[in-house]
Amino acid sequence: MFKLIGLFICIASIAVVMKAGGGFNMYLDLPTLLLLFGITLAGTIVGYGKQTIYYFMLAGKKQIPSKDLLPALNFFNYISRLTLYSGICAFFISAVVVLVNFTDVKMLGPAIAITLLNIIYGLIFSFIIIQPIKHGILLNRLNVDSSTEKQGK
Amino acid sequence: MNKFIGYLLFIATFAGVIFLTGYSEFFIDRFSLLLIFGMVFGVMFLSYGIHAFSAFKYISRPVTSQKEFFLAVSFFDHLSNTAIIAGILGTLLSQLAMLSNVTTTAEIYPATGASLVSFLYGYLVAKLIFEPLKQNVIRNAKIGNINGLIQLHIDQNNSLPNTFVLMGFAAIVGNFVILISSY
Repeated sequence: MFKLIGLFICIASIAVVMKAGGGFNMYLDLPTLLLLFGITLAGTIVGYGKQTIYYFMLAGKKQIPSKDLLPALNFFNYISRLTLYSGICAFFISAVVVLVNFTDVKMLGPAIAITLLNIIYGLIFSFIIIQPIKHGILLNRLNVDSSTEKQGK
Repeated sequence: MNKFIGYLLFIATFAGVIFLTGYSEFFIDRFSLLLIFGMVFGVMFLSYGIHAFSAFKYISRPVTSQKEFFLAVSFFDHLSNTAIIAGILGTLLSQLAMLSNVTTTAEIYPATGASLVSFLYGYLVAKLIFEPLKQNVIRNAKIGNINGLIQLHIDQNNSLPNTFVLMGFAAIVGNFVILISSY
């Protein structure tokens, strides 16, 4: 229940700022989303392979086995960092595309605006989707007794 | 008492600098304030749910077990990270709006300056509200082997690039936007 309220507050505050900036259409771009998710997915598969599905299934469980807690935390930290870096990477890719195809000065402003969208999506994705999952696992870790915490050291 | 002196000193310094330069109206931006506090409270409830309330208890009460230590420290650490990220997000959102709407070159520089206010707010909220609370929890902790626990906390919360990397990156993006748009 509290999580739904939190999600609603996040989305509402971002939406108000977007509306004040001049409408939602400006902030939606499908190729950008595709580029960002492609890079993130590729990085995840390169890093963890088949285990990716296992860790995401783990996040939905109520009781997580104690040997999986620290690897799962590490996995979600990795994805969170990866999303931010892939936003930056996608930003440079689209900036190169824009600058190579440069013909008219008037079109430059909106085109650069689209490239900034990559980083915005990366930040939002990392902090609204990945981090809550990670902190859910962290809270789960706090509920086990202290014998598991000694293993972590 | 020490905290009161510290905050007073900080507010006096900032107010002095802002009012002496004479651009005080540029430093007030309600949309950045809304975005930062909305993101902080939203992410707080989204990540911690009902546990968010129990973490706030340790502001005044010392932690006595490892469980309480991890709950309080990762909670405040996460909020301070969120404030910095929300500041960067607000800067990028307003730069995007600026680039799409502004047509003449003369309007670009003030708009870029106004967009950086959001970054400043996020950094101040993180370093003046949540980081002292986190240090407070660590300092008042009544458990043994605190160094091992801090190291373990750093290991399992290693989810952000370094703050200096983020700041450098924000500076690069800002310069890039100014350079390109002033063609």
